[in-house]
Amino acid sequence: MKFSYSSTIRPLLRRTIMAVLLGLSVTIGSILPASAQRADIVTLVVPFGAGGGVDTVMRAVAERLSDELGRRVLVENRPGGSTMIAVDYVSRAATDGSIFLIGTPSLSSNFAFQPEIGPGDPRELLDPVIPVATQPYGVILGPALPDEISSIEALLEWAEANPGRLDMVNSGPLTAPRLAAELLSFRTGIPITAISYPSGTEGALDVAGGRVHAGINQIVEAMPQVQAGNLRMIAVTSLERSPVFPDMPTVSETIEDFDVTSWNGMFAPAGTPDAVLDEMNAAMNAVLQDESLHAMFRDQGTEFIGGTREDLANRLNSEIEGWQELDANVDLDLQ
Amino acid sequence: MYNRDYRDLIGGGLMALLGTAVVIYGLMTMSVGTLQRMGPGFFPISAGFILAASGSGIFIPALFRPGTLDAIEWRPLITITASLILFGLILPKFGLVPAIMMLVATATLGQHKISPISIIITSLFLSLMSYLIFYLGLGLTLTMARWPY
Amino acid sequence: MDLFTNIQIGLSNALTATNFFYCLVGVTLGTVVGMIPGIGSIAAISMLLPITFHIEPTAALIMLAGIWYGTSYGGSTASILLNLPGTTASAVACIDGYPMAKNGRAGAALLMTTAASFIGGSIGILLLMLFSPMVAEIGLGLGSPEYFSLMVLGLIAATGISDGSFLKGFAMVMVGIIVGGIGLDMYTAVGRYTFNIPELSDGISLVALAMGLFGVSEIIASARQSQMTLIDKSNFKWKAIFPSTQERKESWLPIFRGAGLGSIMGALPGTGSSIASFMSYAIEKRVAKDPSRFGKGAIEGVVAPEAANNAADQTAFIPTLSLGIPGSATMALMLAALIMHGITPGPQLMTQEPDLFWGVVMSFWIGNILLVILNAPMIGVWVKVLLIPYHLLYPSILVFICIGVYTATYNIFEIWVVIAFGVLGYTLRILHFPVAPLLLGFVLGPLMENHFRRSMLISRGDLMTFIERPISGTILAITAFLLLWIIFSGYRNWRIRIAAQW
Repeated sequence: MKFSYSSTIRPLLRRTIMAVLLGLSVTIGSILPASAQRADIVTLVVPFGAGGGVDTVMRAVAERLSDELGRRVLVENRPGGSTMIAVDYVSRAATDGSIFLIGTPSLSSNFAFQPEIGPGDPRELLDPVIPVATQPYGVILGPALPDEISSIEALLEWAEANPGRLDMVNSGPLTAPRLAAELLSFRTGIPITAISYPSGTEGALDVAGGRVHAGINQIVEAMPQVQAGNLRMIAVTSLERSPVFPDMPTVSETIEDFDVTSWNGMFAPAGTPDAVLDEMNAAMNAVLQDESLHAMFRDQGTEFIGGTREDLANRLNSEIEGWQELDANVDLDLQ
Repeated sequence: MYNRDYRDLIGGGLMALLGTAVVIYGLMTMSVGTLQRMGPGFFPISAGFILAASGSGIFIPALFRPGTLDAIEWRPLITITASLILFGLILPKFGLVPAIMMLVATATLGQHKISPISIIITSLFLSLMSYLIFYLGLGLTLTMARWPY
Repeated sequence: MDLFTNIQIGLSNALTATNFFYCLVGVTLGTVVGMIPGIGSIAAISMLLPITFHIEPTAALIMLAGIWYGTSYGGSTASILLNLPGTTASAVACIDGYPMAKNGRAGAALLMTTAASFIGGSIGILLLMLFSPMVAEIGLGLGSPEYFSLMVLGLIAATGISDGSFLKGFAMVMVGIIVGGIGLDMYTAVGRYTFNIPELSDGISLVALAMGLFGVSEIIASARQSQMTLIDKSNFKWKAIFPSTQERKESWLPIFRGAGLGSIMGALPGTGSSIASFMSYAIEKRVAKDPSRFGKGAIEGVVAPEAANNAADQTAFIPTLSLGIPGSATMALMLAALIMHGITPGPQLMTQEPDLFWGVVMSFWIGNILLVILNAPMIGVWVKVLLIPYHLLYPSILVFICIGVYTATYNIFEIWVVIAFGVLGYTLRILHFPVAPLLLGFVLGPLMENHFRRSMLISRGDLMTFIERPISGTILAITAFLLLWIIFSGYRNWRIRIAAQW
């Protein structure tokens, strides 16, 4: 069989491709803004895949930041390595204010517990820009515990009366809920079996199904079952009461200074000029005032805070020191 | 036809070796733990052990029966692997279009059916398609071409 | 409120011009994205994320759901035509779909998978409509021991999935479990076989693994084939594109069996469609009069898993909407869209937001019909891909694989993974090891491990927990019977073979 490119393949390819392209351009092109010039773009690197909690929050922020700056703001997902891939990526990026990392509590826990893995000390690799949002975790109880237990004191009393029995769910090793359970156990001397899940939602379901006693969860993960009456939320883990749930007591009202909070902060690669950092800090502070943003995420317990560059630096530093203290005192079964 | 079944000798042997390596490296780096509190090594080391056993189970009977062995297509194995490696090396430095050209040229090395002109046309065509589908259509962040130096 | 009123509410909501438009956008995009090898629904999602902020929740959900099940419709196209699976479910479609394409039956295979997808999807939606509240209740009652037992059943049921030596298939499952275990340990965060490479700490990505094992190894094996194209031109008469009477007749029962199995598996949170498609393939092979046809282009092996997969896609909305458990990234985004509009997914969703719930469910019907209309006419075009000379086609496939896996994480490491598994896949092919069981072990292994370890933690190391819990015990009893039957029938076949030899 003799083959000639022009007679056999070209018309065929053309037809196939025309069909694909027509379909693509008509359906997609019409609903999408045209791709802008790639210059003068600010990139926010989110260390999780598209569609996660942090990702959704940051996309809503990015949209408003874009209006504020008058530049295009893109969210780029660099998932993996318990956020270390994204940290490594941003820490080695250009210091011209074109790229920022959205940091999470994993920044401190990764470094405090496993300093030998990963890119290194986040305090040296990154320049803090601004704290963006915080979210307390909730302490939840399920039907495996008697109904009359409705406070941290009562929970601790039960655990003392039933030594070695208390199980608590969390969302994986080195995540803040897991460490919060270890911290609770360390501070009270009560043994707690921490049971890890790939996501807090699955953990909350096991608590609601009565297979595990209790858990420390992101509030949004536990909310459906709380509303359905399958779970009770008895406290939040932040130092002060959350303005979103003003009636909910804090763990620190029972155990002094107990503070584990989920937070997102914006960081730049180390060495970014002060002027750039200050400009971004001011723009973000303005964006975080936006009432529509607050309304959008209020039900999840997300509180947009803003603040100074030092606020974020202090938060990161005190968290790292806190976990290092826990690591020094407790054999966490992590190594 | 060989007087031993070399295909299963090699296959079983490889599996037995792989299983043993998994067990040894696993024991060196991870704890096995107890049944209640299983360590990270429990599952993979058990799987490695079973793999080593099944590998031996494939290997031993093959010693005593004749068998055949498929010919290995060395040339495509090497050119295609190389083309993918080159793509991976070129993409981050020079962008998509040079990477595609290099991939097409390398992957078709030794194909007498394809002329240099078809290689160029194919690469350009694929570059255009990738630009339209991935960059414009799906809005993926891809650098088309750049000069890093 | 009875079902009829609900259907009415749902239809009137789903058929508004806006919602219909977003449904069309969703399924079209899903189909396109599903057909491009290596690009998952996640690419389409990140693209549409900004839009979902601004439209009302029903429309957002309808659109995202359309992407989700639309991807499955298109997903088997590349598997059947080019041996390029992007998901576990479409990897099953490769086993018999690709041989069918090589036999010149690609058109028939694609048309029948479209039919199977539609029927499977429809049965799934019916179940979703009738039993959602009940299934949600059951979901709450299932814990780790139940899931572990279920996966043991799935693994045993699927042992017969490939031809040849049982030991070889078994060894491949073990390799899959080992590869699936690579990454940070779920409980202790210790790196397992990660060699301190940060990219490995999340484990091997399924897409890169499947693209290497199936796609690249196939290209290496056939790059130098003597024919110009994958199939003979004479197979392109219209008659060859339509399924024969026999093919149609052979497909009906498998489609319904697959759809039934898929509906049940899909409704279980977190297990999903991949196990369903593997199991339904294994079942078809077991009940077939002539199991030797499987792997060589048996239509049952294509349509049953396809129906199972699509049915599972629909019933997967039960755990997502009623328990708030996302089965995938797409589902997670749907939940996020709801939450942003102040709606909490959960047991109350159905009663508190009937407009939304039933509107979305009824839009699935519309979406499925749209998908058939979109897909069926395209089959003629897709089949012609096989007429592209292979020496031009395979470099193009390689480019698509590379871009697909790279853009999933923007990490070149994914390409190295593809290369490694491409070479491994080719080696296994030369040595006649089946690769499908490897994928099964890869998917099931980590799940089994998690559930087993969690069961042991909660029961304080008491293995009896698997037997004492009633649902788990029942599943294990079924597994034991199945195992006995497999051993018995294996023994009988062996006896017959021995007798024939003498």
